[in-house]
Amino acid sequence: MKRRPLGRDLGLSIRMAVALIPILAWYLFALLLLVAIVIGTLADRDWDAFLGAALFAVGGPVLLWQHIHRSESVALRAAHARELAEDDEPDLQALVARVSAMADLPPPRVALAKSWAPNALSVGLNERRAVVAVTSELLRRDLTTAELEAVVAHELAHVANRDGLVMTFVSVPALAGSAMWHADDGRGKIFFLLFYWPVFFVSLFLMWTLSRYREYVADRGAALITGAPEQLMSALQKIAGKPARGDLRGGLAVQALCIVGRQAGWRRFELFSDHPPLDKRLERLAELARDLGKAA
Amino acid sequence: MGLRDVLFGRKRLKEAKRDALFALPSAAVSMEVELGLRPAGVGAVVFKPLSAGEFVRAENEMQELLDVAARESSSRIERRSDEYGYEWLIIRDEQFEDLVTTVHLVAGELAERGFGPQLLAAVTRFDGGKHPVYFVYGYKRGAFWPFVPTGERERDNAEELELKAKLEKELPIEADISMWFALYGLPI
Repeated sequence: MKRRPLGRDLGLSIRMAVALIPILAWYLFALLLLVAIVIGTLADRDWDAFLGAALFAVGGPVLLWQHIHRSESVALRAAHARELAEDDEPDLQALVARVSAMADLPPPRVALAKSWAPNALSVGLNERRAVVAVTSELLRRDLTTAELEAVVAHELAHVANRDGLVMTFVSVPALAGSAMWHADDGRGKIFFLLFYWPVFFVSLFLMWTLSRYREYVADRGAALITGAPEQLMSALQKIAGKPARGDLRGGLAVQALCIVGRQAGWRRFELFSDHPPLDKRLERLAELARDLGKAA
Repeated sequence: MGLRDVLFGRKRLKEAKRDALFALPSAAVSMEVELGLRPAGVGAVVFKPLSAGEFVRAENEMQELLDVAARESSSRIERRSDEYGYEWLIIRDEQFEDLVTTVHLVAGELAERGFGPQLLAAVTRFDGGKHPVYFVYGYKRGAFWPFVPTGERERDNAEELELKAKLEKELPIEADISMWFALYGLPI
């Protein structure tokens, strides 16, 4: 007997694809622009400009790669996360190992972040580099083992779905905008104000939108791994139901994938937030709970 | 892991690979002859129960089926749950081949009802060394790995690697050592 894929959500998949299209178009456009500049400078025999464009074509991706690698550890440091030694917090580490076995992932490194906010996060472009961190406040809250397992499973679902990689890819158009704005060369700022600002804002919104979608997907993944959506529901209620004192997240929202997002200020509006509102997440999880274990 | 999984997220757990388990009885013979390790007459199937109602019903049915299986093969079966919320179906049988067959039967019954992805591992115990040696069969991987716990949270990696070296010709051993997860405090 086959089981129905859990929480198959065609609408969500379509919306994710639609949100990805403009991002892909940006990459295509950037590539075409670069090729056009290289060919143009070659045709004009403008060797200086050609060299500049060629350097950018090679150096740009290298810089991006470096940025990605650095930001993994920067995100952990920003969260004041300390990687655990093998015999530190043995119960937590054993729990993470069990959950990753069920998800068929190699056990990630585990870190503990000092924070007043109960939260959990993961960083890493792939499953080998992944680090899962929980905050000290999360361990202090009286989550049951099953609830903690659900939180860890949510983070591991991010790892399994390569959300670190996907969100980095998605954040590049917005990142390019902020690089222009902060460039030492005044021309970057002018270019931004004249042409790029609409692209920047659209890509920012797309980034948040996709981030919200990925959160739903990670919730579904957690339900799959633990077989118990209701445990994630109660864990979310315990940690996201109350406003947190202090915040974990700095400007590196994309690299660190937290289980609950900041809901203060203008992020209270769903459109501006990288996490869906709690009640919508609970609603989806309740749907999963009804679907779980049904035959295809 | 396909592109679709990356784009839209995984929608299922990996289905269990159950068949490679049958490499165990013949490997057990050489374990006894060459390494002095005897089967301890006990094994277990470890799975993660679903909280959903239908799963609970299927489990109840399975209990009946287990009773029948136990009567037919001379195995004795008991159930235990651990602190992580996993269920252990512990099977005792002095005949190693029958033990493996019953383990396979039990896992097959779960998979038959569509709960194959909930299967985590099958474990068998061997005695005769300094510490008990467990062979873990990971249903997600379709391969075995040795597990030699020496304390509450310690395992003898050197011994495990030696076992791998000696047995990998006869037993499909998981090549990726980072996937050799431990089962500390296991009830067998």
